Amino acid sequence: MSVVLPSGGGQGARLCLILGLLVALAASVTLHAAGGVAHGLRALWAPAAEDVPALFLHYAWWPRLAVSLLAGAGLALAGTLMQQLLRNPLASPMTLGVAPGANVALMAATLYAPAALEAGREWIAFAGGGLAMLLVFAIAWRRQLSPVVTVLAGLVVNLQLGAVAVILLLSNYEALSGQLIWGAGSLAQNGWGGALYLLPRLAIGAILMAMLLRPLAILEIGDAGARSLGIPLGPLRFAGLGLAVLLTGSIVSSVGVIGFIGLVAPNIVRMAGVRALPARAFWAALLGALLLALTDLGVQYATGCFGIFLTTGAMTSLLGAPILLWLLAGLRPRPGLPRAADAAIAHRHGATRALLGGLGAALLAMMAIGLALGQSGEGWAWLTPGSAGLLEWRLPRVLAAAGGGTMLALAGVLIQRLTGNPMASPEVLGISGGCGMALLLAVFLLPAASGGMLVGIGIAGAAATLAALLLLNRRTGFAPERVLLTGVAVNALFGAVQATLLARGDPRGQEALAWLAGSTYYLDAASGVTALGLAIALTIAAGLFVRWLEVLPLGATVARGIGIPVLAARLALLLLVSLLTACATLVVGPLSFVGLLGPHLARLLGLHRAGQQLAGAALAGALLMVTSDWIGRQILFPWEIPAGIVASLLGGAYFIWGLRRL
Amino acid sequence: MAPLPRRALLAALLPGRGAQAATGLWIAVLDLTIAETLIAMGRPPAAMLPRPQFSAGLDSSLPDGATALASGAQPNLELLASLRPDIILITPLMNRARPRLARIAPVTVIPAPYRPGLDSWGQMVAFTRSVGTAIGDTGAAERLVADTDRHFAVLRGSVPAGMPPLLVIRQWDDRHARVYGRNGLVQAALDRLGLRNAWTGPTNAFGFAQVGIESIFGLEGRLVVIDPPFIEKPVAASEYRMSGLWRYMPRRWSEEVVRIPYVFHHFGALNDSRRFADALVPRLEVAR
Repeated sequence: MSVVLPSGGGQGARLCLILGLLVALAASVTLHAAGGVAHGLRALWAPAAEDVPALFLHYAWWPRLAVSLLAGAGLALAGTLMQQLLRNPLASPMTLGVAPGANVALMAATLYAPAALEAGREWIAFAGGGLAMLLVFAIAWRRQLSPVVTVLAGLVVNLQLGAVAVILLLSNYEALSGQLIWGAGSLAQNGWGGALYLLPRLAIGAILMAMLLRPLAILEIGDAGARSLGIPLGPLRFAGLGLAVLLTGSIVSSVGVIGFIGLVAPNIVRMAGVRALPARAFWAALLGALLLALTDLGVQYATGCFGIFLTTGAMTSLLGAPILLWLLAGLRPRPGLPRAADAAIAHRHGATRALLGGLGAALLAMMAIGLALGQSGEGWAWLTPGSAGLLEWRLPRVLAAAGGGTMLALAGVLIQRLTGNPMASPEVLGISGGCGMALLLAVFLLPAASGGMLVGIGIAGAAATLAALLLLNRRTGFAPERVLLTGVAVNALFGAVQATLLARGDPRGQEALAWLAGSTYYLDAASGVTALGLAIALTIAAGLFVRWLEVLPLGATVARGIGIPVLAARLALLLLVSLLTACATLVVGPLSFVGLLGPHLARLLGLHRAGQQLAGAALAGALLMVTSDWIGRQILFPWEIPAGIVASLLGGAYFIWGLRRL
Repeated sequence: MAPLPRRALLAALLPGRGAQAATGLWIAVLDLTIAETLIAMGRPPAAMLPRPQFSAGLDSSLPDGATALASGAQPNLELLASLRPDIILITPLMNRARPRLARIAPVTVIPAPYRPGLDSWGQMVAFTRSVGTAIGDTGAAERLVADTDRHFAVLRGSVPAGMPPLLVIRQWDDRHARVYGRNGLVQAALDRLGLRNAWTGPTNAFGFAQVGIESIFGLEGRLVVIDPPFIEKPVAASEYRMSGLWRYMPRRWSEEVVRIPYVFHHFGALNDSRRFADALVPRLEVAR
């Protein structure tokens, strides 16, 4: 294999040069402060045993720089691979369940087999990540690891494992709070072990990737074209995704979750106009390495100056998100992002009316059970006139769960149809993230905030995010891909704030976590009634847009052709989505994923036309949320599992079953 | 509605209620530090969050006859309501749930046991007194304060002379740790024992800071490691994982690492600082 300097990377080269100079500058500033650049370079090879600053440089600073460069390059390579294989610019190394798999494995080991951790955390993390990836592959195997199915399987496995992690965290917060540092991606090093662990793995990964470049590049002409050229799609995808997982798993197991590099570096390189795959891989790797190194040097500097513990993984997102937004604002729309065709997930259902009726009846029955059946200190009991006081506790939760589920599922249908992307959901759009970020900051910074204040803060957060979405996407006419990437950037910010706050290990994190997991715990009757009323009103409002929703997924040209004002339609639908999301987030938290699962549940049930899907998703979302809330209150009584967590587990399980059935 | 017959009936029906009924006040506590303080005062609550069972050194997770209200930030409201407590004690951490809780019983918010910028021991004493006031038993609070004072005075006498500053950490992995410092129970206990803390850097409102190993590399002192929870037999100090930077620390920290088991609630008040001190002081002696 020979890597001649790839051509066509003028922009990429310029970007990397600038970043490289910045890294060199930042590094030399640190070395200068630690006794001179020459002294620092000597410390790299041979530190004097009694020279404390030199020992520090040799065992902590230099290895950390090396690991940041290696990890950044590896993540960017893995991201390029994933985006190429899955034909989705939102795919990232974290798409296939590796990070959450490793996370759950580490948590379980901490709780149930602490001795195993002594043998090496890396191996436990790697094993967990590998198992999660195998699960994803097992689900998508029958469909030859086709992009849509693989992405969806990865998303669901991510959600499932994330839910398990939250359950473990909520019940063992103090014991596991160290794990939150890992989740925020810290590059702190203790000797050269980390760099020596990463180097051979990444070298092998890079060589394997170079061997795959040619067939991977052919994928760009589409499945049929690739097949006609004799490319075996299934094996190629298996090899490519396996390689991405090897790269990701090595990095995640040694330094924790660093999410944004793998997503943003390949996108920046592509937006900078680099076309050919080998060039994209090369420049993305270089850019990723420099981005991560620069961020990490900044983080070390900030830690030294302000004495606050910041982790690089979280800060990468905090800095990378504005870069992505800036790029989005500055670049012309790029025609023809490969659209994920999901016609494959389809088997139509004849008796739609009966199906919807059945869903409705199930919802009512479940609401009745949620109100009437529950446990007390003395075991299971039905509601009796004597115990009607219990309704005070149950009614708000059942109503709010129904309302929240409905609104999220509706928002999910709208946004998926608007963008034509099956990974889209109100959560992905960033509105719940913006709302959640505001609320999270309020919980930590204003401990005395009342419920009413929090509602106001939440609405303000959602509105600010929406305003940002609208402003940043006005020039490109609310092109769906742009809107989604904006959402990804906002969510990255949210994730960074969350990870940073949680990594501080503060006991307040537990409450924040419970709320983030989607809990109906704090609601009173008034908010429950309001939530359900809003849900019904907004369902009716969504019904008015059925025709647009039918046509918009076919693309802007078709829609314009039959006389739909595309810009106005997109704006109106975006506003509706934001309203639905903000209301739902306030009652059930930002991360329930009913908005992602609801539309797909409706489709798996065979509801494809816009009107049917809306109705089906609304009912399914409400049913899922009410059921989850009830199960969450009963299954570990008196312990409660937040409804959003149960919904992720239940909906995800059904989802996996549906995907396997295809 | 006459409360007493109902109480008597419930007390007869539900085992273990007798004790609380006898003292008159049914206390529900939604915070571990308040609960530990009440138990130490000899006024165990009727309902509380169970203590996490981290280590064999702690007592059972609940006092006799108390009801577990589930752990975490969201104790079960239906269950709490069915117990009909007389008062509910919370810290400001639970403020968000306060409107819901107030529908069940009067809620008293006890200010946090440590606040940045104030002397932690004094704050813990004030915390204990406000718990005493909240349950209408200031005598029990004063007894606990005096008792703890006496106990610390005795312990202080057995602290070896000329101890270097201590760096109390909980290690997360071989690259990260939590260090305990100002605004917390560990600092208060060290002050009380006449010991110095090697960590003078910033801490959060709960008296600790998360750090990467490089932040503690340059410090002078002696390392005190709190063992992780769930470990049945503590690893011997000599088996302590020492690699990379860790290898160079003991040389700078003149003596061996002191390991203490996970036997106290890290954000507790007087009673837990006593548990910490009880675990620490004898080991200083032995390690010497």
